[in-house]
Amino acid sequence: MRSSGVGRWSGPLSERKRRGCPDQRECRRQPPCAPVWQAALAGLVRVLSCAGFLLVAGALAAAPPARLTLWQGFKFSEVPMLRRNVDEFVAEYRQRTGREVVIEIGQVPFSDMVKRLKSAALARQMPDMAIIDANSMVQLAFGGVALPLDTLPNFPAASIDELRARYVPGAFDTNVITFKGERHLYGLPAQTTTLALFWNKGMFRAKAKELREAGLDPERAPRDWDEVVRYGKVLTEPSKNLYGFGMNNSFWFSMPFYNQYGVEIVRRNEAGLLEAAFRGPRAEAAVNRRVGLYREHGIEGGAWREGALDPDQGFLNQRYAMILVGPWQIENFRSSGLDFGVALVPRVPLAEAKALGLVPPDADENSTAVHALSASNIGGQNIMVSTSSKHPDIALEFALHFTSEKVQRAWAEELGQIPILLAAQQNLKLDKFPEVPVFIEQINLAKPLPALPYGGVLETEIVNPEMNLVLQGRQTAAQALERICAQIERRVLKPVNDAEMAARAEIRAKTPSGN
Amino acid sequence: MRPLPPKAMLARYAVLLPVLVLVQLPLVWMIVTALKAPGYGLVLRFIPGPGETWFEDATGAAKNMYTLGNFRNVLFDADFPFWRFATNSALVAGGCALMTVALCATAGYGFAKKQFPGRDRLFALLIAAMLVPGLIYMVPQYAIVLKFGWINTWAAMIVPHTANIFGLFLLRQHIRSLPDSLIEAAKVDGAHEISIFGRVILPLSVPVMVTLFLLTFVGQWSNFLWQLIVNTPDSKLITLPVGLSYFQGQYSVQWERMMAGACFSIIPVAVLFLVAQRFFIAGLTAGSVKE
Repeated sequence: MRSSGVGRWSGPLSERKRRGCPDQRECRRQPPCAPVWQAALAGLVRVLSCAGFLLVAGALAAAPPARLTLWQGFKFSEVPMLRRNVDEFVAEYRQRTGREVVIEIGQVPFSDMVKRLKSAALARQMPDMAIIDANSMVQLAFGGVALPLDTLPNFPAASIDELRARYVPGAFDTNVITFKGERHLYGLPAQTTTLALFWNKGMFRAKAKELREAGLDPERAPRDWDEVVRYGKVLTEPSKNLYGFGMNNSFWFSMPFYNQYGVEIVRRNEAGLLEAAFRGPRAEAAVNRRVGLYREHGIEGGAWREGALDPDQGFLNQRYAMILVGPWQIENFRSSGLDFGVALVPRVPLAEAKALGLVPPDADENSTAVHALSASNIGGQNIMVSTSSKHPDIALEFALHFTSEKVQRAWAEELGQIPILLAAQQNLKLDKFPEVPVFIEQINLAKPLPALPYGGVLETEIVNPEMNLVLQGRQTAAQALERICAQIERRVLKPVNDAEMAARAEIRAKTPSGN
Repeated sequence: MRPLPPKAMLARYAVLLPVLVLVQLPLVWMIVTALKAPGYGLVLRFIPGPGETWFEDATGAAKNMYTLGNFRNVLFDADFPFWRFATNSALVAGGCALMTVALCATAGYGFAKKQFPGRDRLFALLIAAMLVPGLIYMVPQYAIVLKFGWINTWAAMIVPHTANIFGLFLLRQHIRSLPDSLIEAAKVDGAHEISIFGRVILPLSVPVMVTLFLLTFVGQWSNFLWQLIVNTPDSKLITLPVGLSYFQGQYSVQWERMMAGACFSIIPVAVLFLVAQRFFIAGLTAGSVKE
């Protein structure tokens, strides 16, 4: 009986002394009391313990580091900063947990990132993390490629909304996706961007006298769309190919109009299914405002037409005095010696906003409600963790590190990026990037595109062609919106709603009856 | 050939000159953009304005409109391994072109000079496959490559492109135009099949094979999508077209650097054409006249 034997042979020396064994030889004949056996056994146990400890420690020390891959499509000028962030995280993680982590960075052409991720998912060669276009997030979430971060044990907040309070709301919302009746957070904003108004100071000064005569200040940008028209009429000279404003016909670039006019593209009905909502007086007013700059007032240079100078190039070549563009062009414009300023996107004129019920009837020019009318759109990139990652917890920690205040401050102060963390927007040293504060103000008023899959179809195959016809004067805003809604229902929402219904049926089938 | 009278010569050049300008404009535009300083890539001016200089001056007081910095950056930027990308492209394009020529020459000989049941129907079927756009094949090809575990390998980058029906057609038509009497004479002299192919058919098909080599090389040198999807971003086998696309950001493109890279990328192709142009012209016209 091994167990009783062990019991007999065990017992500390002090115990045997207490029991009284003066004769050592006697003790040797009686193993349970023999000190030599005791000592040998104790030594053996110690040696084995030490060996075990060393083995475990050795195994831990020799354990291969956790390897993670990160795919990104940043500009070359941004990659060194990303590497620095990775190195900082690895060192900090090692210090905190004693565990080695290796994060390998893979460069992917930005425009091919989603395509690349889809083929990698097919090949089961997904990276652990990817930094992707904010508006493509929904495709990857619906495709089951992006992991819901709020399901991870180390999710750093009690709820999605608690975490949301720390970030730029519009940028954060591009990661919050409802699918199969469940609302989850599929990523964190990594870089955010938005449109603001760029105005050519030189072109304004060249027409300073005429602007003053029209009661306008040549040293500032227009604040609302009526002012844009007034400035534009002075600045436009079609005979010289000079126009007050230039804008392309992209859905994403037109979002500031829709956001300012409080237009919903889709909404959930009482049954929780999506339906098209891109219609009604506000939507028509938004379209007419945008189209009217070209058709009614003639101040927009037709930058949306095939073969025309696009807004960026037109602004760079001093053909368009004002355009809506993001911070990515600042460096380009500055390098070319252009004298330009950046201002908030002009907002809905106060009288029109009151008539449409966008602001309270008693709101004045300085009220918060009116300020919020300058809503722009949301772009940028999100960091997602893939469902196939072997270390999703570490990936989430890296994502949190990347969006931490320290990192976001560095990206803002050294590279002129807009911080996505609200805490990092305070007290920044932005001497090198004087335009960034305007973008920070603008981003906090921005709203994202609706979280729908088939975003490409929505933009390039549904909205843009219909709006093109409105710009050409071949249909009215109301007609275009009706046709857009019909196509959204059929081509975008039907598959989403069908999937939603199927998922609900599946859940119902799994739920025991009576519950 | 008699020289043309001066007036006719003048008229010829008057017609050719605008065509030349039209054809060369993209090339010139690419080089000019590559020479422009950052920020000037999309500026439609070519002569420096007030406060601007042509190139960097020592004082740095004025903005320079042109620079050689883009070329330096492309060649020596630590984050842009140009030489690795270019070597990979050369190996893929060269390997693919060699294998294509070898396969098409043997198959072309079989279809042109050998008799076997269903030969013409099989050839017609292969030709009909050319009607299907190449992109359609991409997904099944990718699935096969995946099944073989070839992702991030030379095999994935080269093998799927070696079956070239156009090349087969080109060589078959050429070999068909070779007189059968040559083959019969070789047989009388005791040549076996390999000798006939190696000593009679191949030497007479060099111009067409060079043409096919060049066409395949150029096609694969600039192949973007396939090489993008069969390599993961951490692969060491990334090719130059994929590398050049790294200059494209989310909303903006570094045109100046991208054009500098493009300037380098056309050099191997241009050199190949210069070296092999006499074969190329002969190869394109070969087979146009039947025996």
